[in-house]
Amino acid sequence: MVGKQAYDTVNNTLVVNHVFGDDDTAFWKHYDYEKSIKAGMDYAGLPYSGKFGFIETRMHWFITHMVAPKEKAVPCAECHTREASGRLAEITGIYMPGRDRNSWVDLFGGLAIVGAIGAGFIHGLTRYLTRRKEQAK
Amino acid sequence: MSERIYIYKRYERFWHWSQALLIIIMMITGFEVHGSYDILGFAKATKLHTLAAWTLLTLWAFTIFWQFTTGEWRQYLPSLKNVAAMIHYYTIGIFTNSPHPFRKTVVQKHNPLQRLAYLALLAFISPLIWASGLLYLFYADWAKLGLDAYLSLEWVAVAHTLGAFMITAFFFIHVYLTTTGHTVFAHIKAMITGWEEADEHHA
Repeated sequence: MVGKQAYDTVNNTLVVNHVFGDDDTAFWKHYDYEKSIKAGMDYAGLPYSGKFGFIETRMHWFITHMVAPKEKAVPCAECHTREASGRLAEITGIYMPGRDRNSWVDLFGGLAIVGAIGAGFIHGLTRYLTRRKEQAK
Repeated sequence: MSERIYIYKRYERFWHWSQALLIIIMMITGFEVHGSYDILGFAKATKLHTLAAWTLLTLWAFTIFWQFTTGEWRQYLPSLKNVAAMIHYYTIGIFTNSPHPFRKTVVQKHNPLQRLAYLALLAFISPLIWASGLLYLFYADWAKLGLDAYLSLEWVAVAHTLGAFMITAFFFIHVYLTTTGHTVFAHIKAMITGWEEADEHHA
């Protein structure tokens, strides 16, 4: 990328300017480099001589825009998991599928499934046993 | 010779077994999305769950049409007549080798308890699981639809989970009850071939 950047003519460093905002120093509100660079450098806590100029810059970027290759993309389960090591495990106040659940619904739902299987098993076993008795007569 | 009646028509059998497959897929993938276990991975489970849901909705569109055009919807009208006899049969009669109190016919293929069970499924569990499931699916559009002020993802997800537990319990009871025909596999055979062999008891 090719451009012209504001820089500190004394320290020979590129500067940060305060770009946007509804205040007295934002560049896109007042178009004043002097004020916006001062505010930006103060905010960033960097040394600034108070004198600036412009310099041609050339910047090399990866064609991928720093996006990770797909094998390294974050998979769903890094957050959607019950593991305490999940990326968002400590975020409260939201419901996340795969992480959160209502323990009462899980308890009674689980009991309903176990009950359904158990009832079928017991009923079937009773059928089997009584049928055998019937045939033995 | 036992009497044979053609009770489940071709479309009905196709509907039943494809719906069975889709529901089994949704039970397995749904509880994975819920975090109960890890089989396919969250991403695949979510995708498959959604695909199965849309497939089942499509199948239902055809099935609703079929129910109305054939008049088969009447099979789900409830009747309290003989419910007590059915309960007596399942709790006592079945163990003493008593004859089944209900005789399947083409116009009445569900016994009175079955009618009540399917109606409950259709009237309560189905609306609960489909309404919550569709809201869940369109969570990203809630703001656009003006729903975000009335709904929380937590309540929708919990309602969907509740429906899932009920369907799963129903599934196991349903499968068990298929074994209560005059032979263990008689009902399943009828659901595959369409032909029900009438019980010799009521010949």
